[in-house]
Amino acid sequence: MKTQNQNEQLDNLSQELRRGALPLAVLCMLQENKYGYALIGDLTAAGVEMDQGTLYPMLRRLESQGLLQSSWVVDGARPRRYYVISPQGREVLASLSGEWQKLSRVVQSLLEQIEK
Amino acid sequence: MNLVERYLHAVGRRLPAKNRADILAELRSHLNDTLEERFGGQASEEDVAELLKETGEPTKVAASYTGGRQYLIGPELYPVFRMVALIVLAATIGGQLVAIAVGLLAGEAHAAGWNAWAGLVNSIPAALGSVVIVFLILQHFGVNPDLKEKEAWDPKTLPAFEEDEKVKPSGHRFWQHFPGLAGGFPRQNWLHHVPGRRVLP
Repeated sequence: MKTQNQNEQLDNLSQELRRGALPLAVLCMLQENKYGYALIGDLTAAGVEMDQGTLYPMLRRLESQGLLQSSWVVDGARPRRYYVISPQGREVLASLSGEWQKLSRVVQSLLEQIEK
Repeated sequence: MNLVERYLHAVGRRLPAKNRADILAELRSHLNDTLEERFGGQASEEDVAELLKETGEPTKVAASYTGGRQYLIGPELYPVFRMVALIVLAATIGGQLVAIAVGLLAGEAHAAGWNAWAGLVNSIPAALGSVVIVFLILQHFGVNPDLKEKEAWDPKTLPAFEEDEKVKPSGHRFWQHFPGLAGGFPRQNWLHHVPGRRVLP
């Protein structure tokens, strides 16, 4: 039986594991203009759980790094800030995706070794 | 007053002024979108309270934007701050004690009286306070010590030491750290005094 402490440890570790993948997921999902609330819905539908407290600060960070562009659109019921991947973001996403696949292959093969 | 606006105000107070309006506008838009989807614009105050509870305490929400990194004196600056504070403290206490001693030697009986001790006690917070203010200003303007090595570090430059030398993190070795004041931190000085090992020159 897992103790409280072990559960907490597992939580922390899987959170850490997910942390690096989240910007990748966000960049993938922002191939077209989206506002935060809609993006959370799309991410959830794709199986990526991410709350607003994580998403909005990340969007800001990615934008300040030049990977996203944003603009306020005021034509609907309320003003919304739309984000979309920038040309620089596309380049970064391409290299990151290579990194991701490499890492995933390496970890996969390590895991297979212990299963044998 | 609208609960959402009160919430946003509470978050805003803890945000840096630079992007405050922008962050709040986005958060407002998000909260209203959520309310509309869940309750179709018919949200009761209870519903709003529930959503805000879910969204998180204003302090936490604000901290997620600042990365929780709001320092009076940040971690890069802190080691320098501590060193300077110790020097200033030592100098202040030393100076006051010398003043008392000189007063006593000169035969001024009142030198050892309450006033002298009060002077000692008062001068410590004043001196430390000044150091804190100076570092506050440095932190505010983003002055940080350069932790990067200026030149490639060569392990062969590590100093040799005698086998019987013991680790003495304070005391006489303290003053050896001052050459490090200008360039970087004297951290390496702490590391190489490992007892029981001999490094041949």
